[in-house]
Parts: sequence; C-alpha cells; structure tokens
Amino acid sequence: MSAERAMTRQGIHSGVVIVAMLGVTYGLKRHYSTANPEALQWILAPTAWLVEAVFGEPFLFEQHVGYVNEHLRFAIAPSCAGVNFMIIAICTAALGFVGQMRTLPGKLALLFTSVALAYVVTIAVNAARIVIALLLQAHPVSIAGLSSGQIHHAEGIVVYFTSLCCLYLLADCLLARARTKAAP
Amino acid sequence: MIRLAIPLVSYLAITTLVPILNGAPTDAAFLEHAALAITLPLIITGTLSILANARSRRPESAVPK
Repeated sequence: MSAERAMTRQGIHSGVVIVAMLGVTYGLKRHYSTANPEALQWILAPTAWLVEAVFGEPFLFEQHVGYVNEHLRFAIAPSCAGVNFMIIAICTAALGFVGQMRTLPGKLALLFTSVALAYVVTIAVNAARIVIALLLQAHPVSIAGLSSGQIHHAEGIVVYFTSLCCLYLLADCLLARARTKAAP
Repeated sequence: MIRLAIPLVSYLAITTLVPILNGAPTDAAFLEHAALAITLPLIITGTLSILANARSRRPESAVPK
C-alpha cells in the first residue's frame, strides 16, 4: 500500500473516532441537561466521598438537591457535578492524540481510555475545586473588588483549566516518551 | 501556545460557544461568565506556554543528571 493511501486510511479512521467522540459527548451533555441529583449519583457520590475524605466533614444526600453539609452551608449539586469538565477532557484527549495512534483499534482504545480517565480525573479535580471553595468560604479573600460568587466562579475556572492543561502536557510527554522507546 | 491550543479551544467551545448555540440568554450574568471563562484560560495558557518554553530552552548542562 502506498504511503498516501495509508495516510488517507488513517485520516478516515481518525474521522470515525472523532464522530464517535462527538456521539459520546453529545449523549453525556444531553443526559446532564435533564438529569436530577439522583440520576447524577454516578459522579456526585464519588466526588462527595472524596471531599469528605479530604475535608473531614460529612455530606449527606438530599433528594432533589444533592450532597449537602448543613454546618458548612454547602451543597454538591448537579450544577457543580463537573460533567462539562468531563466532556472537555474527553474532547481534549481524543482530538489531541487521535493523530498519534496508527490503527483503528488503537484510535478506538484511545477514545475508551479517554472516557475512563476523564471520569476519574473529573472526580479528583472537582473534589479539589470543592475543597478549595470550602477553604475560601471559611477564610474569605478579597481580590480586585470581586464578589464571593465571582471569586468562586473564577476559582472553578482556574482549577479546571490549569488541571486540564497540566494533564494534557503530561499525557503528551508520556506518549512522546513511549514513541521514542518504541522506535527501532 | 500552539501546544495548548486543543485544551483551550475545547474549553472555550464547551463553556462559551455551546451555550450560545443552545440559545442561552446573553444577559449580564452570561456575559460575566463568558468574560471570566475567556480571559482566565487565555492568561493561564500564556503563563504555561512561557514556563514550558523556558523549560525546553534550558541548556542541557543545567539539567540535573
């Protein structure tokens, strides 16, 4: 097979995987847009458990609300489930690395791994974000005249986006190292 | 900056573009969200790119063995 045909074939395979990724993320987004706290237990429960483990304060599940700590006056509700971050992480991993996989099974394995890793990473990063938010709530800071709501929002963006970039650079580094080792 | 283009574009697309395409009201609250969601990632991308470039330009002799 000529190099040109092989490249075209690889391009088609990448396209198939990107379409599959769009299907997965669309389904996730659709589920998230209509889901109540009960339906989001798959992501809220492990996040609440991790926050409890790190912060040492119990969060109890309340129907139609999410995981609540009355004492801290804080709820881990569907709006802070981190599903959008999970979608962003899947898109970043799939789009960023699909070109580096040579075969269709390799590209599909990348997509499945991206979904699984995005789930685990989302729980860890979201728990970190919530713990920082709880610390900021306990020790309020004043930044450039921003309200506490704006600081909470900005903190979420900084934690999510910095984590996304650092994980992307780490994955890029690890894949480059694996390629160097595999090269004859 | 180019190296982090994919995380940046993915982030901006999901946090800003998709809500607009879904018909989110472009009121003051959304504009405030969009301003933060665009500005902060650009600052972070710039900072990380500068750090990554500085690290890659470090002379080999400076790398601890």
